[in-house]
Amino acid sequence: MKKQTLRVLTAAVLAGALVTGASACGQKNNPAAERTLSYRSIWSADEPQAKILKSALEDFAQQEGVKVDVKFVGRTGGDALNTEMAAGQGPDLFDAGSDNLPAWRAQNLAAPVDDVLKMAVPGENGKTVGDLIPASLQKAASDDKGLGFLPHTAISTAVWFDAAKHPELASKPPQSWDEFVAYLDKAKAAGRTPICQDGTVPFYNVYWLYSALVNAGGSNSLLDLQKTSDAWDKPEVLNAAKKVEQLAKGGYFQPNFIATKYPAAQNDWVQGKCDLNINGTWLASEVASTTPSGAQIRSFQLPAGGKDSVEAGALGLGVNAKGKNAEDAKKFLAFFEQSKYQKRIADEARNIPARSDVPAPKSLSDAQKALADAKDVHLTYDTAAGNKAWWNDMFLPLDDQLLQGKVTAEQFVQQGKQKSAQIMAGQK
Amino acid sequence: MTSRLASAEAVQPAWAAPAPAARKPLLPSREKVFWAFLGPALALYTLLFVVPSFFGVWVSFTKWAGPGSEMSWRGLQNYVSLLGNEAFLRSFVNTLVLAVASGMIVFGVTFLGMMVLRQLKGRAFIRSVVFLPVIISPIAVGAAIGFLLNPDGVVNRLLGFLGIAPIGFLGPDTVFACIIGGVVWSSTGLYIALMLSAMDAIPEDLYEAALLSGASKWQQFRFITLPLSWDVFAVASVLWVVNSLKTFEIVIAFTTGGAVGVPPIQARTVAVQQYNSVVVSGGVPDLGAGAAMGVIVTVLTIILIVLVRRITAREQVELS
Amino acid sequence: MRKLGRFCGNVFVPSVTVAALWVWVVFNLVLVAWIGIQSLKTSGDIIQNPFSLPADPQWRNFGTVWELGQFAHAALNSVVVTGLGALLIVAIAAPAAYVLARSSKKVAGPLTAYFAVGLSIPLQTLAVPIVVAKLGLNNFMVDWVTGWWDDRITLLIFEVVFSLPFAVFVLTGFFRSLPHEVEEAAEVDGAGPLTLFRQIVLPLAKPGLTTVLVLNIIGLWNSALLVMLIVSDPEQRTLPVALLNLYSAMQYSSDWGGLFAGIVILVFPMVILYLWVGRRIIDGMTAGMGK
Repeated sequence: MKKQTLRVLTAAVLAGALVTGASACGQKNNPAAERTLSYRSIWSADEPQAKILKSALEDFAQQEGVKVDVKFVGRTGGDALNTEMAAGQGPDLFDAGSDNLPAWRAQNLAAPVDDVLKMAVPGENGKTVGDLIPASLQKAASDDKGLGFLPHTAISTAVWFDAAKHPELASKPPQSWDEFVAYLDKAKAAGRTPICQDGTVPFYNVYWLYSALVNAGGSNSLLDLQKTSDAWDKPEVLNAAKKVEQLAKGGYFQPNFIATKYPAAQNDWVQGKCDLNINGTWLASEVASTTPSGAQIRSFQLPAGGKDSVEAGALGLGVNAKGKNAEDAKKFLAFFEQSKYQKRIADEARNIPARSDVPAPKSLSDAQKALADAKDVHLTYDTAAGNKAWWNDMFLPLDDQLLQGKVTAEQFVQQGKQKSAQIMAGQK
Repeated sequence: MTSRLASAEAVQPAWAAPAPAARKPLLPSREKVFWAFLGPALALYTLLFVVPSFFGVWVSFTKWAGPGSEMSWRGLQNYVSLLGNEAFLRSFVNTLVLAVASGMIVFGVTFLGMMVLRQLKGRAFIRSVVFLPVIISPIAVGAAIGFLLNPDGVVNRLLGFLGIAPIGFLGPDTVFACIIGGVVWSSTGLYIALMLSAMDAIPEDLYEAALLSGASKWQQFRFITLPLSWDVFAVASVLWVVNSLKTFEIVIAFTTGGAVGVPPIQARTVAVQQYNSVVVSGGVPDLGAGAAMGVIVTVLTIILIVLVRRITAREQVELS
Repeated sequence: MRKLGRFCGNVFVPSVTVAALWVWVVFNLVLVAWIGIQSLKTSGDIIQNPFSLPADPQWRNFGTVWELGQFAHAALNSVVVTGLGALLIVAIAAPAAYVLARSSKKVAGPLTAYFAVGLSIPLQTLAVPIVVAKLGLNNFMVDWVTGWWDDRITLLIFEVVFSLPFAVFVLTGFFRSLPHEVEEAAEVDGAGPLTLFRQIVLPLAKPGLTTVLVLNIIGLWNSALLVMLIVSDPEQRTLPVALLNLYSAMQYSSDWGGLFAGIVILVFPMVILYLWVGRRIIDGMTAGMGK
């Protein structure tokens, strides 16, 4: 055993030496006459966000005299990015969101950007970034170590419908859970399919439980479930599970919803085959090409009572703690908050801009208002998605079973509690 | 025809030849270049494959989120946690089921194919076309699969014409069966091609003699074809074990396609489970767990290879 | 009873098998043709009328994908990596397999097993070391040697390394089965080892070499995971990854026509290559694979 340990240790040390030696070499300075700002994006070149970022970077380059190096790699580009950044080879700017901030923090890659809040945004009469971005969004981009990235887009979750077909939902959205269920029953009785669900996407399926629980209970009501098993005993948890059970039993989803491959269900919804779809605020932009003319996409928050907490998530840009040009990176963060780019995020990318003074596109006006008026906010998935073993391997599959009616609400709570305890024990 | 006979003789391995005493003496020229010829392959393989693998084994005993983050020693804890992780256990079982069940179907179809394709008009054409799925990338399959198997997709519409209600093929309980189907569809062609080639090396007159004695196709297969192509089957089965235990891309293709997401537990293989723990999207990476899974798969592969070789080993059948 | 058994064995089972095989053949052909047809339709048409023929072929689907999806670069990268990679694999593995097969050194057997073990190690285990190694190599070359480096070279190196176990495993078995006489005759005539290898052994080994070459070409063309780990610049990536990106981005554009065009670009070159040379190659595929 000893000899083997020694061999393994030696191998590890050699490997480590090779790596650090090689990357130390990387610090050798090439005399650079000009400053370079590098950005690697998970957007694809033809997506609206990519185009907006590209033109903003070009403007910045012109204004500041910095050379800009930008690559739009697409969704697959995130897979090895963290390793490259950790080895000192990453870009200065990268895409971050409230859901993956913990991952960047774990490897100490997200440089604190609290100082950006004090920087003035060009052309805004001296207003600083901190003035223009609402506190709820700043919270969404921070954790106990401070502000981890600067948001340019606000993300939330809501239940979506087409006001052209269902004006009654626009004028009087359901205010309580019972009203909501009543609406579903009415739709079903009239021969329509109330809800379209892309059942092969577990983190869309969990929206029902997540919204029911956290809208009512506020921050930490979901997160606690992975921290202590006693949290499962709270009556609110069983209540939320019962609501989802009601949906499962009511037959409100399209037939075979659990076997529907994304994005079939949301496309069906926008074309009017069902009334409702629960989704993030990116929905309107995703279904843009199949939206029939005359459709008016609107939304309402899932009424769960309690605190009526609203999800306030953020999408933005982070500064690489191990990058080479943090100064220009931070300058760009402030630069990008100018209203002309924020407007483009609203108009072209069809998302809610971070700045509260820039109006969101019409389809998102309800969501933006909900965010602005919210008395209580919480982060996306209550940040529970950071713990993979719990989220991916236990909670999402269990929730899928609940949504299909394969377990009752009581069984859900019981199994959830037991399995969480197991996982917590194993992760010490 | 002569070349076939020659290759038939060549099929007999060198060590089946007479006793060591009669073995040819060392050929000095070959021995001289041993290290020179072997060098590049050995160096590349050791440095860039074996050493990183040891590093992987090392990581499997730690808790690590990637370079730049703390690496803390956990001993065997990763392995113990895996044994208690339902999702991992399910993926392990799935991988085994995939290897065994698909393997039986693939080789079952292959043997049946060998039985009938020996003398069939259009056999070369059939062999070519069933090989096609082998060269189609699973990603291409994944891109089209939603289209085909959705509840209102092409297949269900066809079923609709026949009056059958739509089936939720891609639902969590049924998608694994579809994946097995997909694996069989995309691999069988390769094994049919391999085994047919082996069969081609068997001289015609054996079959003629058998036919004269009144042997049916099945009997010809069982008593001539199978024994004389058994060696190739042995090699093919090892290849199958190795490839099937790594199944990854086709699972992603059938479940989440290009969208970031996590396949349902019922459909995951160990490779999928491992990839999830290594990648950033969706949470903090757990490289220790990922590495541990890698070690487990490697051990499983070795065990299965040894098992398969035991089962398929037997005396060389020589042509007299 | 024997009659029934005979009926099963000689007529029933074979007929069912033949029928099933033909059904499979037709299915494959229809599938490939269907994909080709879909690539020429508009997105709306594809969703609404999946079984119809395009009224008006949309060749521009290909144009869109070629430029916007960066398939032009991806195709070039795929061709270069696949071609060079396959040749390199054979060039490195064949000599190694030859000496491993022929040598009577004690170490030959264990070394062969050493290579074979590599077959059982999945790629994901090596994901982090690979990324770390590629960064190290990148830095090293840029700072100390040449002043520039292309990640595609790293990709090529790793693709070759990962295919070595399989290539060595198959070729060793193959070389072992070659007859000795010709080599010995040449040796007696005074041929040096290199000449011996190049002019005598290699031609004899053509079927085995071709098998390995073909299987590697298929594997390299379709390799996606390794590319995603090593190459970060979208212009340097290969076709499968480009298609994957296209599919992800399709959420936003629902461009089914473009997607099918992308599939065609990825799949059809292999199909055409296969139809052109495949038959002859498959004929010789397993000569000597017995051990």
